[in-house]
Amino acid sequence: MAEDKPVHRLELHPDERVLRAPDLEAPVPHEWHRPEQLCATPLAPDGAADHRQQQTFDRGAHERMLDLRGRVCAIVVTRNRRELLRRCLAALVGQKRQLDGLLVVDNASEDGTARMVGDEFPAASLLRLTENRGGAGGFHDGMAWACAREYDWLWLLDDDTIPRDDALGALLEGAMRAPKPMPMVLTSQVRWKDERLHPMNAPVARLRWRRELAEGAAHRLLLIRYTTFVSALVRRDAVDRFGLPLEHFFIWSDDVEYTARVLRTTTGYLVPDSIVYHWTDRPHGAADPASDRFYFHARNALLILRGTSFSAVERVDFGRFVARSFRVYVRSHWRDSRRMSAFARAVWDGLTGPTR
Amino acid sequence: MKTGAIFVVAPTPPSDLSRQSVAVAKTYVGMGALSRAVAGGCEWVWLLGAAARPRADALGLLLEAAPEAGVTAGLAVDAGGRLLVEQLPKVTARAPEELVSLAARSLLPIRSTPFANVLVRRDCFDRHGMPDRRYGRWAPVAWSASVLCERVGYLVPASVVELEVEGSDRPGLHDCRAFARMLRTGAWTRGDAVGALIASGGRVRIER
Repeated sequence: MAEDKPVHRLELHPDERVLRAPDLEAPVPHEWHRPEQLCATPLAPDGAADHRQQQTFDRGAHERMLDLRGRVCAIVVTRNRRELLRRCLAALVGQKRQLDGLLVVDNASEDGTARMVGDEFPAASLLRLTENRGGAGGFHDGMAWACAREYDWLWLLDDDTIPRDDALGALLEGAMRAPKPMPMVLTSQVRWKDERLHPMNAPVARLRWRRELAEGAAHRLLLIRYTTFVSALVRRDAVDRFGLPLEHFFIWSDDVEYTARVLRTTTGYLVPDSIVYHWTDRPHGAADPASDRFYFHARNALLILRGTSFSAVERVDFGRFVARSFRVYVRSHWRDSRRMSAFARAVWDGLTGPTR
Repeated sequence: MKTGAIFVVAPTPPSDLSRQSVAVAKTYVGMGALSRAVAGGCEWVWLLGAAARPRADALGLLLEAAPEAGVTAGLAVDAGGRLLVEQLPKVTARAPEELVSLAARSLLPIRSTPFANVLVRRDCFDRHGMPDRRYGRWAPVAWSASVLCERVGYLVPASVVELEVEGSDRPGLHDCRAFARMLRTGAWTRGDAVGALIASGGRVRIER
């Protein structure tokens, strides 16, 4: 019986201490901790091994099987936010539709995060990076890890995301009822502590695709152009076709670049029934002029504008948003030489840096 | 849901109205049908395209979806069930919060719509008059854009009507004035105008 198959049969050999990205020859130089088993509960009854066998021969059958029974791995990237991470993981473990895998990517935390994960969440796998490579590096490696283990869906979350207990189930139900072809990305309503939509993660509806927009609405879904890694459910096929997030973005806008790249020619939806909370101190937007990290917003936004994630028309819209954020920043800080020099450096790096 | 009288207005007689769960009081067809229907004292006017075959409960879904709306529009498909994109209402950008809550109700906010499958409150005609003929083929779009500046309107994708497709009906040079008027009065955005040009297929018909 498929149900009886032990979960660890799907995993690497226990002695294997080096994670290999699926398309890389060289080993990735970070520690690889493998818990005794990947998930606390047995696999879904259809049996993952059978599933993998079918997808090789019958693409249509593979699509049909990517439903509620598909294997889902949640990927949480964290750095020095142990308490928030604890709440996030507790919410993930408590999902009504249980996870098939849970990976914590630790960006070289120094606050005992690794110990906390090992002690309190033995079902979680831990991927420790030897240096802080930002959210982009964390999601890059986490997605490679999950794809190597042939999970069907990758649920990407920041460590300050607290999902409701039905968030994952609702996302998968959204995927099932979505118009064909099956969407590449699904995302949740992201709310702040006071229940308003978090401005950083407000959905960007794709109004120009009128047919898909109407068909999605008929199924209680909102067609989106891009989303953030605060609850994004991504099909593994997206990685096969479009690759991984760009590591050199480090933080901010790596999720926009990636999902916009994937969704340029495919569909993605917001599922209103799926709700998560983004537990930031303030409900600030994506381009927060008060933040010291504005360098990354400015640089990465320019890299996106030079890249291929958006069409020419979309670049005009996105460019307006970027220009507005630059204007607000310069107006707020034009007397601050340190910030202005960082901004100038960001513009230079954004105009000259690699887009892929 | 309790409603006042509903009149149907269409260029040619619709079929299968008996499949609707909501009773239709009267049907007006042909030239001047809309004026006669509005003068007839109804509360709602259901505007349909040519040779329309409303699917089961298309009218009831429009009525119940959003009672607060002045205009609710459904989908139009051809005989093969393919969505007629040119008959789709234009969806408008709204605050994300509103978009999400509407999506949860299977609705989308609109800013204009052709008259393929549209339910309109009669008081919209009282306030905004009849569609202006000077807008030519785009008169319904211009009229609905004007109404929807003041009232809310929604796309209800669950309501579907089958239409007979008129294959060769493309904008021609004789539509230039109406085209310019649409652009000048703001009934269209520049994007809409580009879309209409593309819809002409680059093969603008010249008529003497």
